[in-house]
Amino acid sequence: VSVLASDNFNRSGATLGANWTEYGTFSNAWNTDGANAVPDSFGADAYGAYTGVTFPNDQYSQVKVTITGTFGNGQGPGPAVRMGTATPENVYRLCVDHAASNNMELSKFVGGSFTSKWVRSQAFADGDTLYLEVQGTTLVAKLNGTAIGTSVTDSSLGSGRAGIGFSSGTTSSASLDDFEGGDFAGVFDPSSFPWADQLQPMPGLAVVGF
Amino acid sequence: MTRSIYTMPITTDTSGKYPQRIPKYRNALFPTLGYSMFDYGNEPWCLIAIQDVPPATDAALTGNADVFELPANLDQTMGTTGVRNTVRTKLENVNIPGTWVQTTSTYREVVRFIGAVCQFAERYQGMIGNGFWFTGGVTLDSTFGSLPANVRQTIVDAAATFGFDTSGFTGASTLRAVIQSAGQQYVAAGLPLDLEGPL
Repeated sequence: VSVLASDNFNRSGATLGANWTEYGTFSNAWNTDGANAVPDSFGADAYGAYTGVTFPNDQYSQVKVTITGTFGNGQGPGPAVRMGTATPENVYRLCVDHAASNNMELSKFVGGSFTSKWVRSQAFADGDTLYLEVQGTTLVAKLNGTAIGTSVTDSSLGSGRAGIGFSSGTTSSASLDDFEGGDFAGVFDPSSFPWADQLQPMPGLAVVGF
Repeated sequence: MTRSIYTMPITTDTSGKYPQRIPKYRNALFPTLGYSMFDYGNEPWCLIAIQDVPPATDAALTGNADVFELPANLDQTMGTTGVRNTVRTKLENVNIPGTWVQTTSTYREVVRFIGAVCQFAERYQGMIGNGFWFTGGVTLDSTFGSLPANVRQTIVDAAATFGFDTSGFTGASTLRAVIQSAGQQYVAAGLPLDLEGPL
């Protein structure tokens, strides 16, 4: 895994600033409050695609989330992958709040058309790290490093950028901190190593992972 | 967690901030149950796996004519001509090729095929930017050659992204044959089909 981009949002301004492309209901979709990224309006969807680097198609986004909302139904902030940089939206996004059930939703916009991919119930604490990865057609979500249920397949979006998203609604506050985006370079894939099954361990050493 | 698999329409919920494509009976019958869904591209239909469905909810879901529940044992075969025909009809009614289903086919073969054609349709949707196949009188019996040029090209391009052989996609091919070929090649290639667990 390689970290290609990170941002602690430790600045104040009416935009996310350099390296980000913002879009959504408003073109300046995000503010920074000195420590976090904050949606410009809690009543408007917001996206921030990290454009300071080029992401490979297999990518991940993770970010620390804080929200007061308890409505569920796909509202809240979270990580996003394979994002476009303008409307109509193309994105896979994971949104969360503190609803008692179905408080997490993985969804997609394809050409601006919204479709719910999955809904799950998973309690979390403000400041926890939400993670969303896409490798090939497989989407995996994690909370503090632990998978949120099983992976799901989707073939709609093949490329884009890692970043952040916010699904608007009834919450009175929401923020994101410590964004990280990256890829899976350096992850050893035995299937790409045709003679892996012919390797023999050196005396005293074990070969694992084949 | 137990997984129940259904097919059902997708409805566009317009009560919120923007139109949302969701399983038709989500809000009415399983608003608090977790689920995962494959949509049939932009077509109004999906394959859905719902977690821990209570018996009453299952009965309410399957009481709808447009809901089809796959059996818990996906490895059982259709068995009879009647069941086979029912499954064929369920698929064809939502524009998924179904004539390939035989009495010896298992439900796992059926559900994998459905999942596969959903993936192909999703890829098409993503590449063409939100198009429909079955609009303007187009059916599974429509010929590939009768489709607009950009639709034909995007179908071929979508197939190419998966590495499918498209040499059999001729102007005389029916859309049924093209979608069936793509679905069967997806399954044969062993590409991912994860829906609350592997299919």
